Amino acid sequence: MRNVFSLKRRHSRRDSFEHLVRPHFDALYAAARRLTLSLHDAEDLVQDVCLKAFSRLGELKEVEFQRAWLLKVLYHEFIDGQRRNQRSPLAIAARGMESQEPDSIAAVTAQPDELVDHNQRTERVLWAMNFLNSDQCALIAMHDVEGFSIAELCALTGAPAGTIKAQLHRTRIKLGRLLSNDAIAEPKLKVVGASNEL
Amino acid sequence: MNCDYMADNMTGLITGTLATRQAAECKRHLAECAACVEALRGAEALALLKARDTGDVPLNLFDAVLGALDNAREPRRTGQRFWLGTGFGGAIAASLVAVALTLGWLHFPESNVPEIAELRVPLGQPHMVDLAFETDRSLQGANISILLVGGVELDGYGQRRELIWTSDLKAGVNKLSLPLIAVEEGGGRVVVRLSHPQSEQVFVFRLKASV
Repeated sequence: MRNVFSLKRRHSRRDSFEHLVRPHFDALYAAARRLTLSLHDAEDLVQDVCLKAFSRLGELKEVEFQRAWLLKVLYHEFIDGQRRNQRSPLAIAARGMESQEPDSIAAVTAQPDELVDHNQRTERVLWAMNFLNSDQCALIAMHDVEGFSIAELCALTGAPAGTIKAQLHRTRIKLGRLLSNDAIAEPKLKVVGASNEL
Repeated sequence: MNCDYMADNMTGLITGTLATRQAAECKRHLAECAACVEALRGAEALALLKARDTGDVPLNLFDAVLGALDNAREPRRTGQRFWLGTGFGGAIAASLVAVALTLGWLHFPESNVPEIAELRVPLGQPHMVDLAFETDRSLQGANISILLVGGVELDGYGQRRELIWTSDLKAGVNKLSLPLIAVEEGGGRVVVRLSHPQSEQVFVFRLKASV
């Protein structure tokens, strides 16, 4: 009998999770796609966020702005994942290769040269974001990418508007400086050649 | 005009929605404030992310995630984080070819290199082959090349027969996942070459279609 109760409890948790997260799932996926260079990485990121949210279901039920809470978890998970990947040189090499995948750019209508340039710039931005701490990354991305207002961020973090604005400005400056630094402008590892001459 | 005003109006400046007079004030401030120039660069970078095409959510993704919650010890996992191809999710089978690298590698033409493994995979279907390189010390700037000979392709790369890139190998085991397809019954050979300024290692394995 204990197993039956355990199963019911699990299903109840799952139902709660579905009820809370499904309305925000599209937003989570869109955020993950913006932060990753392949569909698979986006799906993995979303799944990691959901597993984390499921393990903190009680907290999720209590928060006032669930979408913001989930996105914040996603940005933290993104930075943590980037750091894990940094420890795997082969994974970094893969990012260089993935940027050339036709599938990842199929939906865009720009010309090929523009696509390569766009992908390289995106890769550079994601690379620079590694250097932000996860709180800075979450805050600035939620404002500048996801479009949360200062008032919403105040409600979410409990910090006054002046503090939020100052943090945003400092983080933009940091990101801008990172992007102007040639030492990190290029990916460390990338495809250096390819042929089909056989 | 000060940095606070600039910060408040940065998004409008980037999107071009500021009034002419406000935009002109911002530009005057930028001409004399290096910090705001950096901040604008940072904000423009984030605007680039915001503008990315995110596509539609895959139809079954949320259900797959719910399934993973039911069995949290075995989450749906598409990545190994080394993806060379796309579009086949986590359902394909995997094989492992392990190679131990040591210092003082041998150098010899690949035609004379014995095949270290023969893998049988379904004809025409992507099959993940994991290569595990073990090295006793880290190697900076190693060149890795994958050469495909005969009826074998790398999923997502069509007719491309060779990929070359540089990478740093950490001491210990480094995994490289290749989504390979046997496009003919006889399959083909995969030649993997790792080269470093002091040494080179070539190994070969065969991929055949299972009958």
